[in-house]
Amino acid sequence: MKIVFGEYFHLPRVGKDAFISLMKAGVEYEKGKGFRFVEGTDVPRAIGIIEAATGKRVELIPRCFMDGKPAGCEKCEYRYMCNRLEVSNYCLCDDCYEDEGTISAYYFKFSEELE
Amino acid sequence: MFWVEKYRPKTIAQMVGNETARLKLYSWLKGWKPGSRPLMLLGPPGTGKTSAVHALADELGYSVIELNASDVRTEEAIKATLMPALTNLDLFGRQKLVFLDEIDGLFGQQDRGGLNAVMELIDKYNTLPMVMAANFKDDEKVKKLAKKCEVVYFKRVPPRLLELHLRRILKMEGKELPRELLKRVVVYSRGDVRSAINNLQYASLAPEQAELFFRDMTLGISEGLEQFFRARSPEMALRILSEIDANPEEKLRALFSSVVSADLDIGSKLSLLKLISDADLIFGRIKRRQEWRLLKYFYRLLSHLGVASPRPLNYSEADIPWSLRLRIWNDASGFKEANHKLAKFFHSSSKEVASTLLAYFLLIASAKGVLDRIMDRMDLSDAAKRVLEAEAERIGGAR
Repeated sequence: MKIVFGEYFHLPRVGKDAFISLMKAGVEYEKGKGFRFVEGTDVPRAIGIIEAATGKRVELIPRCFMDGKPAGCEKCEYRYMCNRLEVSNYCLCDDCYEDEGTISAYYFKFSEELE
Repeated sequence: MFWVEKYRPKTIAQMVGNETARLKLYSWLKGWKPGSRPLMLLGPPGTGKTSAVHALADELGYSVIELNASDVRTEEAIKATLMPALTNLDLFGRQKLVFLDEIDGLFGQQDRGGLNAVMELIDKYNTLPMVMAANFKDDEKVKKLAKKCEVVYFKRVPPRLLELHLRRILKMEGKELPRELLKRVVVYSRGDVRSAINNLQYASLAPEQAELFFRDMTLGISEGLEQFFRARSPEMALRILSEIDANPEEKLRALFSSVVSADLDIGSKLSLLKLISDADLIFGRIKRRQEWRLLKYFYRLLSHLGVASPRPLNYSEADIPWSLRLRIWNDASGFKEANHKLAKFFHSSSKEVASTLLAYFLLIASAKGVLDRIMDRMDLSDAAKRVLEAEAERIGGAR
């Protein structure tokens, strides 16, 4: 099961206890839209709860800081060493990673966010 | 000159990774007013906590009064260093920011009043913005301090971003590295920017030696065990296990927690735990008698673990299965209340009730059909009653 950071996802009925635990772990829930990992979500804990409740392995996909798309973990050369629970929530998608000018654009985009 | 100093970020926007954490830090300092809660930055080394504070302070015109807590640990030393500096402006009229770095180092093995001194600083001197940084969020004293602060988590920098950051430094230095070597530098640094820049400088000065050095690199325990569990043969598993940069005890503990929290049937789990238990016996003997020649048998035994599992395992630090963890999280407050109230009845401690008496009490009270009455008499909340009833049922079922 893949969960993209910041994107809504649906779960089968997980039961009251698991639902309460997910809320305590800071997972956002909106009726009709589903669940969502946001800033402040205790991601390792939330993934543990989902795995225990559904019996499925969860793969977390960060988002691209530049364009908000899911980061390109599948093609990433670092996928075997990158512990996605330990790294910060934004990375780069394949297109942005390949683009020469991305790093300057990255610093610029961050300074724009400050304003 | 060391590149790590040369390329120390001058503004918070010149850093990579931890975007949300940096934004939070920025808006906290920007919106700071006397009486605001201090900020605590938590995260592994090299993720940019210290750099972010210095860069931001410079950017917003603050002068930093820094105390590296690894050096000064006693209450007196902290007060002597900080108190005289706690006036609002420096000589040049700039506002001050108090920064206590490596706060977890402050307490050491034995707290020599350091925690009290910092607590006092927070309570009494909230006329200056104060930022603390710590590496270990699970330290009890750090947790205690964190309750008084706004907490911001820093994480490791994703490898793709780190690579682009390093490429930019190389470009500015007018140097080039083979792509494979650059990737090795990124992998070796494990999301630690400081270490990455140091390694990059070393690799650019002596590419051939660096090539050899990074080829023999060891594996971190999480990525190492992920590879170990996916090894196709015990020989390959043995090689990976020996490359993991951790002592035998840490490896054993990590293997144990991974097996315990794995989603396996009870029979498979038992057989894997038996393997770990046998290895633990060997390691006990090694330690007791200093027979380190037995270490190869210890590793050889463990190397069968991944192959013996009916499905690939995953590294986990949680040594309690998730199903049990859920119960602990959900029922903890109910148990706490019941234990506290029962402790008064039994003239005992809550701990004693929790560890020993509660099970007997529930067994006897439910067998005699008086549990409801006792719970009413104890004036337990509905949540606590629900927890005790469920526990009584569980114990009754097990009987």
